[in-house]
Amino acid sequence: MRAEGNRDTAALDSFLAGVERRAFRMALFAVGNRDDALDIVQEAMLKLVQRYRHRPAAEWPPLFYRILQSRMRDHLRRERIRRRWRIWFGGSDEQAADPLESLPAPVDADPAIQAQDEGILRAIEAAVQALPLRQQQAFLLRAWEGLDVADTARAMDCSEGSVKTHYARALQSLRRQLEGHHHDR
Amino acid sequence: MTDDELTRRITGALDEGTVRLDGSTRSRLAQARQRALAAPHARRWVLPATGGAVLASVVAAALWLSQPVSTSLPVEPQDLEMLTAGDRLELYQELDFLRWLEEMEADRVG
Repeated sequence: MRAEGNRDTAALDSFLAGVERRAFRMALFAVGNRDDALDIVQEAMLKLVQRYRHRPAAEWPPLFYRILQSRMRDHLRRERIRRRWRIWFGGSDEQAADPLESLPAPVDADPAIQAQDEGILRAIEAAVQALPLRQQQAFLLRAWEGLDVADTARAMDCSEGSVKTHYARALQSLRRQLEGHHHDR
Repeated sequence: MTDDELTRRITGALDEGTVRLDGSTRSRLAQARQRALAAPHARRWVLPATGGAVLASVVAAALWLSQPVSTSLPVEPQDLEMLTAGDRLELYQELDFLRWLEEMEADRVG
C-alpha cells in the first residue's frame, strides 16, 4: 500500500513538474497577475493530488487542466464582482486597482537574453493574451498543450463543437493580429 | 503562412517564454508542487468505509421495518372472562344498560 502511494507520488511529481510552467503561463495570460497565477496553479495542483491521485495517469492532463480552467474562471468572476463593488462604493476602478498588478510577468527579465526576434515574441504573447478567454483556452490547450479535441472539451467543460469553433476563431484572430504586427515593422 | 506554420511559430514563442521564466517563479512553482504533494489527501479506504456505514444503516432499517407487527388488541384481565364466556356480546351490553338504569333510579329516589 505504501509502495503504491510512493509510486503515485513520484508519478504525480513528474507529471506536475512537466506541466507547471505552461500552466502558470496559461493562468498568467488569463488573469494578468503573477501572484494570482501562482495561486491558481497551486490550487489546481492541490486539488488534483487530493481528489484524483489514484486515477490513471493518462487522465491527469485533462483533469488538471479542467481544474485549472475552472479556477481561472472563478478568479475572473470574483475580480469582476470586486471591481463592480469598488465602483459602486465611490472609488473609480482606476483608483482601486494597481495598474502594475495587471501587467504580465517580465518574461524578458534576464537582460542577457536578447533574441533577434524579440519583437515577434512579445507580439505573439500580447496577441495570445488579447484573445477572449475561451478562445485563449482552446488555442493553448489544443495547440500548445497538445490535448485532443475530446480532452480539450473535457478540460473546458464544453462540447467538442465549441472547442473547434473557439480554436478556429482564435487562430483567425492571431493571424490577423500577427500579420498586422508584421506589416507594422 | 499556413495554419500549421502559424501555430508552430506561436507555440515556439510560448515555449521560449516558458524556458525563460525567472528563477523566483520557477522556485515558487516547485514549492507549490511539493506542498500539494505533501498535503493530506482523501484515502481510498474512505469510500469503502463510507459505503459500509451506509450499507449497515440500510440493513438496520430493513430489519427494523420487517419486524412482524402485532395486530391483536391488548386485552384487560377483567374483560377476559367476558370474552371467553359463551354468552352473546349483546347480553353484556344489555346488562350494562340495566345497571345504568338502576343507578339512575337510585339517584332519583335518593
